[in-house]
Amino acid sequence: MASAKASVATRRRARVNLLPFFLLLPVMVVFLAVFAPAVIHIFLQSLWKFDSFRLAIVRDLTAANYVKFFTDAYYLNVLWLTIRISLIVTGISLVIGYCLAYFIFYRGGRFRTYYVLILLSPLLVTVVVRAFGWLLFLGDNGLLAQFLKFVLRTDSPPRVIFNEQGVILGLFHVYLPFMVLAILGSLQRIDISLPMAARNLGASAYQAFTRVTLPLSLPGVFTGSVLVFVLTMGSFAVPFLLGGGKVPMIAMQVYEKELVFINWPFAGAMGFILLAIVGTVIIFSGRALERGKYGVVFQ
Amino acid sequence: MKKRFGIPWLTILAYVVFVFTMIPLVVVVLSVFTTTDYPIFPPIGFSWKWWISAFQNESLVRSFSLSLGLAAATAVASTTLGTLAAMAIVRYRFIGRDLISTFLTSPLILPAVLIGVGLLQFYVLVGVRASFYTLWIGHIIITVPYVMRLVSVSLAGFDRNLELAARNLGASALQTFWRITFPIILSGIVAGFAFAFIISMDDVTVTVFLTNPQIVTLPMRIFAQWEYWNYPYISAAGSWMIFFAAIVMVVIERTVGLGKVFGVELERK
Repeated sequence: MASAKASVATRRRARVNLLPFFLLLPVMVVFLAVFAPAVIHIFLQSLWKFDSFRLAIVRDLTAANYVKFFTDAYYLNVLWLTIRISLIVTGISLVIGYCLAYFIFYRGGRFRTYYVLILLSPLLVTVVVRAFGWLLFLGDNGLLAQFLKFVLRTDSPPRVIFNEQGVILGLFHVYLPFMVLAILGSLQRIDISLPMAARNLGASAYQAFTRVTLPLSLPGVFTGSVLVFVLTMGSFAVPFLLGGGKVPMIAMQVYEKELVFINWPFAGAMGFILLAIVGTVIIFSGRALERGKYGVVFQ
Repeated sequence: MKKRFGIPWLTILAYVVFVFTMIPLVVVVLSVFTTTDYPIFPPIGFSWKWWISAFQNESLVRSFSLSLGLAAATAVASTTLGTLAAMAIVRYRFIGRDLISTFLTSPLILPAVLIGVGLLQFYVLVGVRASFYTLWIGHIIITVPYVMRLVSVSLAGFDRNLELAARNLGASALQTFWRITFPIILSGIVAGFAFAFIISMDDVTVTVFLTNPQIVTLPMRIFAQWEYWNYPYISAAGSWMIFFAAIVMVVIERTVGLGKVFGVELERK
């Protein structure tokens, strides 16, 4: 009797232990057969030499690709450009995104859902189509150029496309929703009675905001900033399409080295340098992003 | 909040940003109607001719049907794989659970170019030529994490007593899944499907490394013609993409609610 009970128990236990692995099997097959070896392979390859004379990869272990990136002025410039643009985009998104999140949350009223819908709708449209829209709007025949021609009374108004400003504008448009969502998320976790209590105790609206609401929403500000920075650092399509070849951000360089110069070891090395920077930012920003790049989106 | 302290600039700023947000989409859709031979906004005149010519453009239609087929295949595969994985990870405690969970969601943290480059080089290494299937696998890898997240969310708020009750009342494990578990987490699955579909349809950063002249998705078609964009039918193709994004948005809003997917409570408590 006792042994029968025990065997039922072990059988049940064995089933419980095996089922999750059975459920994970299909996805693990894809990830272990393709994804993991692919990532490991380019990492190894980034440590190999590229013979630019014969356009061949030589399997000699070397850190030359990494050393080259950090000693060559051109690539240091690429790195600095990428970081600078990411910081600018993060800063603009932070200021505008905070105002917008505040507006949607406190002034949105019954239209709040529609505001969020408007804000999120471009997220689901491919970056290429959005870039095309900007091209038509900001390009030489676009509405903005016509407007500037009329206002500034000149035939060659300043351009905001195919240069750094165009890239910043495009990136801001792409990543603003992430910032707003992050800040909205932390605004809604604030107990609404706290700023009200501050007001009741004699604080001005401005004081109630700067002393109560703003500090309490800082987690969202932080999460949103890290998220936008990380996403901008890795952006490829926007600088490619709106930069007019003049804004070589790091992901674009990876693309060029990979497909134009077929220097695969160096392309891989740049990819891992990008990963190292992004990874460091995520790790140092602590738990804020513990659930990954889109953690904030699905928290 | 009875007392409304008005900051008019906040409202103005918000509306300016909302308009800004919609500019590229509105521009693309309206520019199709131009009568000129090049796309322009605001459109000059009004005609349907570029809509019609877009549907007659064989390469554009081929790319569009490829994109739809790929997105559908990706969504089906990712939803299946991701749902099973999410069930295992949310429901069970086992050795290596955290590690596997991190591993399966790591495509979200890795820069997309790195994934694209990695897949391209791996396919070359093992001698597989670029095809619909290699692209499909790439898209599965980048969409599985989203499905896992969405399904996990719906599994997390799940009262397991419902399943125990069903089992007590004599239902088999499989019956319990299909009659109880599946309908309850269906909204998460549908949202995951919709997300996987649209991400697969929109992607360029991974896709750019995995295409060849025979397999060109619609965004890649526009991407590749960027230097020669002087045809209004590109606006038409863009409008198709916008149309599908709108459908996906409605699907998500009707199933789990867009706010919930993005972690925002939209109704005032």
